[in-house]
Amino acid sequence: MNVYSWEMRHNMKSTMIWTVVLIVLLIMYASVYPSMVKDVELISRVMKLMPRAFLRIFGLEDFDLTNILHYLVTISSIYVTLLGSVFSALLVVKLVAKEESEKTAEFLLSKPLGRKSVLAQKLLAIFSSILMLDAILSLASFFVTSYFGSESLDQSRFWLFWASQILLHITVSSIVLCFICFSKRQDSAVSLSIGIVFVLYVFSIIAKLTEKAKLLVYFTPFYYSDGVRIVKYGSIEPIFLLLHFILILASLSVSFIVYSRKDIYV
Amino acid sequence: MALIETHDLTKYYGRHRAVENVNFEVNEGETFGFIGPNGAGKTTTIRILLGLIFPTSGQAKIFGKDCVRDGPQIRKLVGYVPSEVNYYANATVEELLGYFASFYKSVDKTYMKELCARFEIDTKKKFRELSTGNKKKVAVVQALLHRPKLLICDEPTIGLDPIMQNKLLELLEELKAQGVTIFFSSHILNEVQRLCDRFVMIKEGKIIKIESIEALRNKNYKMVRLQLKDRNQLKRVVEKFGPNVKTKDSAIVFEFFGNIDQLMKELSSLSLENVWIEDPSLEDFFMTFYSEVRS
Repeated sequence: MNVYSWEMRHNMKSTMIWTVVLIVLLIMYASVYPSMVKDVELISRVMKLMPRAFLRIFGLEDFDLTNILHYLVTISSIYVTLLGSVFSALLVVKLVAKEESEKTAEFLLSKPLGRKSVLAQKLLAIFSSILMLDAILSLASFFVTSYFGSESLDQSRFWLFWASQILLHITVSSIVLCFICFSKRQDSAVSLSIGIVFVLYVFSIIAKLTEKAKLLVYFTPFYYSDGVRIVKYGSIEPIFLLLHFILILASLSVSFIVYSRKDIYV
Repeated sequence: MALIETHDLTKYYGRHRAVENVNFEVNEGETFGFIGPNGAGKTTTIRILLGLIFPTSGQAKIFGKDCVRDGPQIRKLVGYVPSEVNYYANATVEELLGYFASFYKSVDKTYMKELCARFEIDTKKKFRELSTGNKKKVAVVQALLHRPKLLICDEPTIGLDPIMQNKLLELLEELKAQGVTIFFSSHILNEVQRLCDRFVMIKEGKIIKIESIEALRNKNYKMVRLQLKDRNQLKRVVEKFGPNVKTKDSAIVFEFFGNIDQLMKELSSLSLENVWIEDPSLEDFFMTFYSEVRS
């Protein structure tokens, strides 16, 4: 487990920075909430004037903004869902792709450790960091919600939302890992990984926007873990849960196979 | 016993050939030179041995085990000094050494410290702050700290100042005396002559020749350049030193094989304006060898 502990030690700082920045964002958003509740009538009037498509993108169509959980989830679709996924993707770049682009793989892979073991330890470090970020963030979010919210919080829905986000981040990192294992050179790994995240995110928006693109919902984990829908119904549909696990399993098995047979050019 | 053996080792990068049908054996306890010009396939061969890349066809074995299948087992007993050293830039040397050691079951920490002291490594510094030469020194310690049975060096003296180069060569000589097998890739003929028992030459991905270093010593020829006072003496020079005498600008150039005394005697009978007697550069040496093999 030496690679795991090395990676954890050397990535703690960046994970903590991300966590702090996301908590600050959360507090910023949440602190606006009390004033919004005051002007709820005005806001719902403004919302009625907005185009339906716009409301649908943010899941605001039939949303009760006086409920802080609804409010939290709506804004979370940007900072937890999207930024959290960017964090997960960049983590994979940092731990796996950088090893090749900065040529340190020459050292790491000439040590008496199999490729699979190296990748497994790195993956464990990636998942641990994601869990750490999400755990701290969800706790912070819990306290902030209790502090700013006027009515009691629906705890089961709240934690279900966070579980869906953790699952999303794990799925995103697995998919990115798969692409990185396939690419021969890692010079553009950062843009590749962020590109993947945004394309998948846009897929989920298109899927929500029009009935015609309904099939698209199955092709993006962002839709599986759409917080607004999950909080509205209080559950994740089994099919989407299953798809999450299939995507994770498939991406990881392909990654392990490709990585252990890959030529490392440094 | 052959410690390293390759059988028709071939590697293509797409269509581009890196090495083709490479066959050689390195015996236990031997110091084996691997020489050739840039892009000849030296590093490719080393990377296959280390399991960083996989051969297109053919096989490489170390300790009788297959480099593709048994990589982790083989690498327990192998140390590797890369030609270009890249470690985690933000870590201190101390942290890095700890990490290097963590890959092996038991590492003698006093031996590690001894090596650091010997190469005057400042372990408190961050890796990125080190000069090329100091980075190389860290790589040497890294390769030796687990007392490997086989040491693979890819141009290890590049980037070191002459004093450190000498220290490193001394260390390699010590290791050799301890029975460590050394696979040594180099550009520099001197080093190879000093250290190696046998050597192999590689050019354009193909092995040209495997020779003992004794044979190399016997081929210890000189590059001779003369300026004659009287151009008419040219004929006599050709008579004396054979047909490979060439004129270059105002000078006459030829390779002289054989007894130096003989050479001096012959030269003294000529009336000379100037004379240079030099050791061949690796390039000259290589060209002579190469044309010899072809003919």
